Amino acid sequence: MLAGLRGSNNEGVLALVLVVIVVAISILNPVFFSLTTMFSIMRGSIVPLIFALGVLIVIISGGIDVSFAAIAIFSAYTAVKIAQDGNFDPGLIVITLMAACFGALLGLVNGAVIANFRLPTLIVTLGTQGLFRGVLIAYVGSKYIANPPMSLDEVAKTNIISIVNEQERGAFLHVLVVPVIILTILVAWMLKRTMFGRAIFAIGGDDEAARRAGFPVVRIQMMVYILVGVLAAVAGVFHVTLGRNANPQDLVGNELDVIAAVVLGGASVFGGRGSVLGTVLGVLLIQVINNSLLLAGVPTAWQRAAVGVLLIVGVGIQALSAKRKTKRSFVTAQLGA
Amino acid sequence: MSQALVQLKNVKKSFGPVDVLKGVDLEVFAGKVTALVGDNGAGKSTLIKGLAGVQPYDAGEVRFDGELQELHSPRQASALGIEVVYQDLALCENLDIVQNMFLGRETLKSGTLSEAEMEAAAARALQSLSVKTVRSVRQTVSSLSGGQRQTVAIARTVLRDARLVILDEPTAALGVAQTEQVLNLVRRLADQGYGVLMISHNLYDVFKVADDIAVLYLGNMVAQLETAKTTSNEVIGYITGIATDVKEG
Ligand SMILES: Nc1ncnc2c1ncn2[C@@H]1O[C@H](COP(=O)(O)OP(=O)(O)OP(=O)(O)O)[C@@H](O)[C@H]1O
Ligand SMILES: [Mg+2]
Repeated sequence: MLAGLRGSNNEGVLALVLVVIVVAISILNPVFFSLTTMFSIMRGSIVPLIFALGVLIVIISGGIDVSFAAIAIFSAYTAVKIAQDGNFDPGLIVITLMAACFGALLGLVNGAVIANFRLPTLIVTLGTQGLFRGVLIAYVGSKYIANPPMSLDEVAKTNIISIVNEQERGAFLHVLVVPVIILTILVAWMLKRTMFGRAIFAIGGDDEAARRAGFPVVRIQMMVYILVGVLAAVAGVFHVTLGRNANPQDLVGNELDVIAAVVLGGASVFGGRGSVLGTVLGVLLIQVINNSLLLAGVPTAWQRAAVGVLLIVGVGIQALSAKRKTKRSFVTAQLGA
Repeated sequence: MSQALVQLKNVKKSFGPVDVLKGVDLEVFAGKVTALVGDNGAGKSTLIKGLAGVQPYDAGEVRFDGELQELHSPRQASALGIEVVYQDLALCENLDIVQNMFLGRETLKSGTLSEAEMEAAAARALQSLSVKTVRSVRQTVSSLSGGQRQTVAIARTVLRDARLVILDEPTAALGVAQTEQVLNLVRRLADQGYGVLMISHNLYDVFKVADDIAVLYLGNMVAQLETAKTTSNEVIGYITGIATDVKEG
């Protein structure tokens, strides 16, 4: 029963850690424990969570993509720039769709290189990260766009829950939380309930076994990277919307937070393991930590250090438990014999 | 004598200048275990890769149920009912038994995975082979012993409606008790009417379960013997080439 509570990817442990941290911070700093903080953490999680869903998918498939932030800002900035240059305002949905097309295209570049040339995914996406960013700044634009389309501004100012109480701090839940929740549920459904999801787990577990079982491994890998590109583009547009500006220098450099969240969420860096629930918890954990360190007045440099340490701890736990597992299966083999 | 399930005639395969199979004949019967033996490099794996459609033969005839067949892809082989359990088993350790047994052939209900149905079918398949060694069909493969993994891989072929099950050294990495388990399973497979072709280097295993023994020597089929009418010394003679004058080339 305890194992059941722990969850297949240690989600239970993570949830417990999250609760303990929240309680601890709230005791130290009662201001933290409020609807205001909760809503602001949720708002802060919008963009990283969408990124994290993409990273989760690619990590389960046995790869990694560090170009997602570059894809995000490329796609979002380009879509916004097209609207601006053309002097039209197609609205959030159309801008998101436009960006998604760019994201898919850049994801396809990643996927094509990785799947066809069997190159290490980290190196390829590190390369394309630079490439996408270079192309964006050299060919699309390097100028900061301070006034994105009005329709995005409207969305930026829309909250689904607004509580303005006597204290000067109101609590506002941003409307973009809704599409993120929908996306999260869709990705969870895709991973758990569809053939595509099963294929992703199979490839991450043993790509040769997946190939022999008849899965079109190359095609599925391409689709994974395209999907990551699309998710990144959506995150990019949401980032631009929330920030109310489009800066081509943005986002790249903050990949660590997202990857750390996914790994802490139990996704195995060796591939084949991971869950959406764990990822959500991981993202929330990183947000809570960043938020509380901010409240405590810790400089941002130390926040990054903290996240870095968390990432290493997460990977360390995985490596240890992997080692323990091989030992255990050896023991059962001995007993069985 | 009844018709062979699989009949190979004058099958050839070369890799560049190297002739690995030099005109091999082989018959495998339904309900029988045929052991394929031979020294390292004799061409056993190459022979079964051709049957599996993974590495098609260059020349020769393949008959399945007496019908001439072309085997150019694993799909074609699988459609005929030829399933291979490779030495590395090709299981995904991160997935559970049910997920592995249905890998690539998942049951879908209105587009989504139908887990309950697959679980029941997997349990039935294991039961039909009287497998009692696994506790739960939802255990991940990483938690299984070598023998249990072999069992899952074999049961998977049954689930895939195999008629010929090809096993590449199914007991190679196993201890005594687990070897026994797997050999029993192989025997039951044949007793239930499946054709079984088993590569093995272990003559003890071969004599324990096989009905027929086919011996490859440097790409030639030098003998196809009935287990009951031969001795391990005779088989060793063929394996090492002492018992035959092998035509080269
Ligand atoms: N893809 C390939 N390219 C070139 N040569 C190959 C290839 N596959 C097999 N061979 C050669 O063919 C010969 C037979 O190999 P095969 O794997 O069929 O032998 P085997 O009987 O299965 O041996 P073992 O008992 O060691 O598994 C070997 O000399 C091997 O080097
Ligand atoms: Mg071999």
